[in-house]
Amino acid sequence: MILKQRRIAASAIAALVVVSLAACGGKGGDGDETPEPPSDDVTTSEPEPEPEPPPATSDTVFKIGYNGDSAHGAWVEAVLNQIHNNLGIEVDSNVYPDFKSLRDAVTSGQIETPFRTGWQADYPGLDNFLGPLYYTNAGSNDGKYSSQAFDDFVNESRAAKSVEDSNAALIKAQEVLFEDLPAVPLWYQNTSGVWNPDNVSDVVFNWKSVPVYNEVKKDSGFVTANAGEPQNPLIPSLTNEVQGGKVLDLIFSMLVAYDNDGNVYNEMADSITSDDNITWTIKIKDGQVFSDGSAVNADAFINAWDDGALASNERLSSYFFERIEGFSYDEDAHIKDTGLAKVDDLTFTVKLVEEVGDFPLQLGYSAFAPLPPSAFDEDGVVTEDFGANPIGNGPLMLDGADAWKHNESITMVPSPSYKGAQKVLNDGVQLTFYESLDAAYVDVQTGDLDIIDAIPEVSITTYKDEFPDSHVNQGGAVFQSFTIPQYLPHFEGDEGKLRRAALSMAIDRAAICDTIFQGTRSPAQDFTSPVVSGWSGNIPGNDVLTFNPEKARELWAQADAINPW
Amino acid sequence: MARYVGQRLLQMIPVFFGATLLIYALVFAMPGDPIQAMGGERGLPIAMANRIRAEYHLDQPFFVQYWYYIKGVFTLDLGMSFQRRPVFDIIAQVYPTTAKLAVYALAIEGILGVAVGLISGIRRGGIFDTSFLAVSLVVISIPTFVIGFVLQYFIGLKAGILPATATGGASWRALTLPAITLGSVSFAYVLRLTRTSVIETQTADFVRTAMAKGVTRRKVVTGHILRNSLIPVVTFLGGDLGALMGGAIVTEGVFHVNGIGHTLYRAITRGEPTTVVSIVTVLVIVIMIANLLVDLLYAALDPRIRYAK
Repeated sequence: MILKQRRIAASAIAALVVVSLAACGGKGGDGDETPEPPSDDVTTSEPEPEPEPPPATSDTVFKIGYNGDSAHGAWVEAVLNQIHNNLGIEVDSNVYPDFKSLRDAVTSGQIETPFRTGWQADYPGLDNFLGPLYYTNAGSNDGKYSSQAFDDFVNESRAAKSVEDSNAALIKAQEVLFEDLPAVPLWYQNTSGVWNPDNVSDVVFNWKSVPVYNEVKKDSGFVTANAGEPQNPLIPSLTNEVQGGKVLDLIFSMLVAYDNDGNVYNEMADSITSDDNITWTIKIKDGQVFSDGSAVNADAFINAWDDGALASNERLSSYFFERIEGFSYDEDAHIKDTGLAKVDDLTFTVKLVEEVGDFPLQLGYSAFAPLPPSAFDEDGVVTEDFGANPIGNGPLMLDGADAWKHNESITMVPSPSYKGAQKVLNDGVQLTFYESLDAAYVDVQTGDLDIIDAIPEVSITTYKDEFPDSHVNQGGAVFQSFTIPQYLPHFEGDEGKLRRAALSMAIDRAAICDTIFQGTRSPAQDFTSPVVSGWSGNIPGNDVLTFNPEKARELWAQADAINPW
Repeated sequence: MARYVGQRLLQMIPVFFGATLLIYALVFAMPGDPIQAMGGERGLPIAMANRIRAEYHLDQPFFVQYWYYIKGVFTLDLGMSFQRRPVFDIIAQVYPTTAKLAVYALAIEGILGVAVGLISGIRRGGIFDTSFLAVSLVVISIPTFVIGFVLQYFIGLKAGILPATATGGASWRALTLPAITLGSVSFAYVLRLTRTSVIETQTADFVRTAMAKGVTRRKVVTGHILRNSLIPVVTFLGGDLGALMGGAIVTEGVFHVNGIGHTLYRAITRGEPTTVVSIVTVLVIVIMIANLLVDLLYAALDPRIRYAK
């Protein structure tokens, strides 16, 4: 409700700006269009006048489901309008009041329309975009897609001995996806943000679209940046959302880390090796400690992972451990008795239930963090007290017992005991929690806040002028699409393939990215994200993502010949 | 008097049950599954979702859930938020900030509204009166959050006179713009109420008598006109305290005030029944107490009103 009011406020103010421009006799440039909810005019960005849509011959309505509590309405309308104009079919949106109710309909398999999907990677690997979403019966395969050919390529990738072979197999897997289009790729969400150039310099954003806080330079005092109140206690395996993740990534160091381009390197690990991609031997660097002085050793990892995997602990990120031998969602099973084995103080082995070629790549996600002995109670369970005031092994540590002021901010200072590869170039970091991006943006303008890692909708047209040399807008690791469930009538078999391709070709992605999103999205070229290593923009078959209304109509007509719409 | 207060306090009991039941039912009826939403786009494994649901009694029928909640209220245990913090602590942390903001707004609208309304009423038709009538009309017709954005942009950001947000902490200075925003619409109503009331009272017999007796104009205005004009204004201000608490949701968002509005909004979007109901229950109790105080103030303003029989 509030979001909606604020958006009205936003457009009201934007409208005022436009009116005043007009009054001055000025003409808005390309960037001055307001991000108004789109009407039919989105499709008119084509050079030629729009051909009359063919008359609708059927009552069947094509719908896309989305949650109305977030800013999805504008682009869904635009996509639907383009489909309507280019294919001549009736369209409508299927609005759910909020994210909860959309997810509810999707996960229960009751949704009877295509629906929007957004996917943010947990780690920068191609498999993280493909496996969970399209592998047969995978956890987030909400469209119930199943393809033997696709599964085979994914398996081949997981068994591959080299990263190159693994990525090559996933490119082949995507060729299958382009053939079947279980979801229609739309665009990648860009990393965008601004910072106050009088306060800070050297602001770089990582592959996750989060600023590299520890490397920001500031003359004195804490670097301040926007965040949100972590939704859960700061226990690594209990945090599955971005805001808590921002803190955990700073105060914990995992076995591997990702550089700002998403390439992986060993952080706490000395080596991670396997002969068969099933049993992995992990050696930890000697001499690494937590900020309380205790050692980062094999036990620190084994105990932390065991706690994270134990069913009754209800760790929201426990799915990361699901392929370790002995793991169970349904009953308490200690993986430290099955899949995990200590070899010596600094070495342990992990036995998986199947080949996972990119296992080392996953180990940089914060769910795999080690924990010090003080984290556990006498039963070996991580306590909520620890989650309120966690002790980690990362480049930063919490600034004392009351560093986390709930709903306000969390403050971190450099950890003197940290000996890893990451640099800390400032006196510490304070993450301030905002409910409203607009307020955070104003604070960056006044200098009360140094960095904001997103642009509020109201300011999308103006941020480049207001922060000419201190903004960023580059590709990010969020992939957006709409999923067409396999069980929908007209979307099965050969008819389905034709219709899916036709829909995809009827959408002018570039126009929507420019007009609705003001350049803060980039048209999709595949099913993953350009920030992931191994990404390719030239996968055979991806011409189905190119706007081609004639071809779209042709394919739609072929589908009608098989089974009228 | 004591009997009257006692009666009023007893009346609060059914109101309390009615309000909590209603709010609980509304939250219960909210669409979607908050537990599944914890898993984001990925969702949660069914077994885990069921266990968490059981932990918060969300798998129970409505009245059982409500019973758990009421039982908690009487043992001063409001339950845990999804973040596993006691709801009691959350409310205790943010309530003072919103109370401060509401009192500030109430003071602004009360003092300024009555003062301007009094002058307007006495100098009816003058330039002062006409211009403030116009101002109040404008303020009433613009939604609060637009006033907030405009104040924030021009006074906070462009002129830099006052803090544009309360990020640095909820000091009186930082709360000035939010309080003006929050109190602006009510200021206009208080102004108009006072003005009308003053105009009516001016023609009353007792005012004429006082003038005829030779009482000074100053005394007539403060002792006779103002005091007798205040009853409708006080009623309005008392009821307004509740509206201010509700309006704080929007204002706190615009100015980044870390108060009850923020917290309530977050709890609603996450679908946390205990947090939402607890916050609203506290709001209901505050409004009931405010109304009681208003009724008691009548007696002070107009000795002819008596409560005890």
